[in-house]
Amino acid sequence: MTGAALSLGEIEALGQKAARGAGLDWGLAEEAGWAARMLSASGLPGPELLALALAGGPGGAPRVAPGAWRGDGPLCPVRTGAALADFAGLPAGLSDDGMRIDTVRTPALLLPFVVLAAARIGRPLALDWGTGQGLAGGGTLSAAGDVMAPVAAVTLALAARGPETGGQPPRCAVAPEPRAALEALALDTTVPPSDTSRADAGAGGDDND
Amino acid sequence: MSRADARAGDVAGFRRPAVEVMRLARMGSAHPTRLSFLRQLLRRAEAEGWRIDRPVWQVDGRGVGRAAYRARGPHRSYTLVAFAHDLPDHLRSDRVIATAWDATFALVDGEPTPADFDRLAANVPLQEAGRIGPGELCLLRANRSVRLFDHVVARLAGGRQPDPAALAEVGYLMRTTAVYGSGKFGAADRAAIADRPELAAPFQAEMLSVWLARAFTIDIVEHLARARGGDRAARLDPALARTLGVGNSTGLGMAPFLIRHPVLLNNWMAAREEALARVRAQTGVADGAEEGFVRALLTAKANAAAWDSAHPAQAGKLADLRADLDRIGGWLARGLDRAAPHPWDALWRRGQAELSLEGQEALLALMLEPHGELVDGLGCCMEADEAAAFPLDGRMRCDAARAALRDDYGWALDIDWDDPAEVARFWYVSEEKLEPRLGRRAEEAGAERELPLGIARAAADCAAALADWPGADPVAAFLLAHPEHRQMLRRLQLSAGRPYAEIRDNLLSATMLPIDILRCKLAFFGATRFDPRSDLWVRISLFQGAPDPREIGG
Repeated sequence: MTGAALSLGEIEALGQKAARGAGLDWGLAEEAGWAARMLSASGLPGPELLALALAGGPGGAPRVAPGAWRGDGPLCPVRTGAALADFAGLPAGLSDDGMRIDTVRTPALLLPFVVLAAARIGRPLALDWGTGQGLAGGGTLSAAGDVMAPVAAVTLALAARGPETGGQPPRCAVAPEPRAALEALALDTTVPPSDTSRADAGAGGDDND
Repeated sequence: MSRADARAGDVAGFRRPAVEVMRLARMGSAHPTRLSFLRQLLRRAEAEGWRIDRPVWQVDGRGVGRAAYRARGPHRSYTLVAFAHDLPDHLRSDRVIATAWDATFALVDGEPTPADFDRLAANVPLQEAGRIGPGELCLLRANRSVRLFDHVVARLAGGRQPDPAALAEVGYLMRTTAVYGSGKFGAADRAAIADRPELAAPFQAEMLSVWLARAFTIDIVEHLARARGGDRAARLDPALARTLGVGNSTGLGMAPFLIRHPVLLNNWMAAREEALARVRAQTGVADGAEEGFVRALLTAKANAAAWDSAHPAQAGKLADLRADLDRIGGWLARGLDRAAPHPWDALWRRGQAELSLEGQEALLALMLEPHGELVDGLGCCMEADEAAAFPLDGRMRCDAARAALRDDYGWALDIDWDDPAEVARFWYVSEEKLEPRLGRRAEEAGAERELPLGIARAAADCAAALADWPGADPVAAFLLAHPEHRQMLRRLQLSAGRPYAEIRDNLLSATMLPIDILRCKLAFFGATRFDPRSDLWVRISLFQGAPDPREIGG
């Protein structure tokens, strides 16, 4: 089902506010919005994936160790993705031998972060979540199979080549339900009105001058 | 001396440090310069001979209808579509939350088809409640300055020219209340147009929209005068029309932008500061430069004389400015000290020693004015690839992060964060209107939903959390445990090599004035007549004194 088209800037802003509304810290919320935008720019359902990831409540952060990351229950793809990018090239992070992560919500949402990890180690990477696969490298990404897989264990390995350049056109039509879910979460970043706040908002009274 | 000689010298040694430049009191004294965005637009339009016309004018005798203003450059066209409305007085509000306006506009990428025009007619008058698409670049609206608008229409209808004093007092027939671009309400994303030379500098589409809207404000008063006065009606004298700009009302909503876009802020500031340093570094005075400076000074004095504000702080600053411009005039009456190794630097240093902040920043603008050849090329450095600066480097060691915080944010770490006055305010978004507002922490609810604009406090919190962390650990490990410091560490990393990325004042302080942030941003736009209506919102003028779009080119 398709919905109204948003600009990529609107997708990023909505994703950021929704992630913050869902309880992520601001820095991670920025990354959530950025990731949704990058997925949409690559023709993938970025806002839909983010809405699905946030619907399950706060996911955990990974316990990092060389070769294998684990969590207590499904991991948050934004926290896990941010850590993937942060740790790339470090001993506890992605190395030439690849790595495994147990289990992550909406694994396709990791792809933008895998792009950052690929840039850090200077090699294209393949992400596999069983029912779907993605490629990242050269600042771009692609995905095939079950992109909307809700939760899965993933493996990350060096790839022979990165995604085809000049792939999919942006996907800016956002389905109504996930959009409404993100907007509802975004509203949790706002403050209800008071008389003081109305009075302090700026120009008041008559502007007929 | 030749221009080539004027470029000589060690420019770096003349650059002002960020601790001096990035203070709110100084940023709140900023003046437009020749690097301001509307000046960049006007220079390009003139140099490239843009052809600007009005292919559509379908407006009835009540002033209701549609129009199109088309700007054709060497490679592409842009069209401002305008919808003129008959707005009852009680609906006229400058607030961003208004729901009806005297005129609404959209800037179309290229030339709209009749179907585009109809689609826009169904959406643009609704502004925030409507949608535009990737074929549009900007969405804006304007309200009449009723008093002046009615005066001008009445005079022209009677075959007379308006009272120049009335024109000077208000300065514009209409004022915009919001100019949206960069993907807002469905418009084209900035990334989609940023590689076009004519839109590469910041806010060029927005400036073009306002410039073309200014032509509409003149056309609509002439149209209404003709409708009322018939053959008796006069056209507005072009010399008077030139004195009219487009007003703009701007509130708090604009302030967070400079904090949310540190790379952009750095690049704007760095370009301006590099320009000043180049001028100061010259070992002589280029031909005609002193005369150009004096001409600019006369213009500035005329502007300062006509610039009025009832806001007590701004009124005081205006008095300072007028006195300082007189003082500069006195110095120049004896000429620049051409025996000095760096004559422009000698002038600058004297200004620093003897002028108010307002006067110093005005002097900066004046010194750039006759040096276009030396500084105009810096305009293209004011854009920013923000996406490239976004990724964190998790490999940075925690001890390096601690050191960088001390070096770049020492000013923030030294604030007494236990003093309630230092955290008296909080920025938030209102649920009711989705606009940024500023709350009082001790008195109002909602601080738990605070926007992350208190960078100084975030730096102090981050430094405290890092203090006990093993220095050899990568920040990747620290951030996994402390995601709440992720945003601060990103800012810390992108501040490296970008000295002007951060406002070096506490934006939560009881004494912080949001209008200082607005003034800085508006000066980069090229705004004049900065007139705070409170500590939170201002009115300004754009394109006052600039040519009408149709006077340019072929």
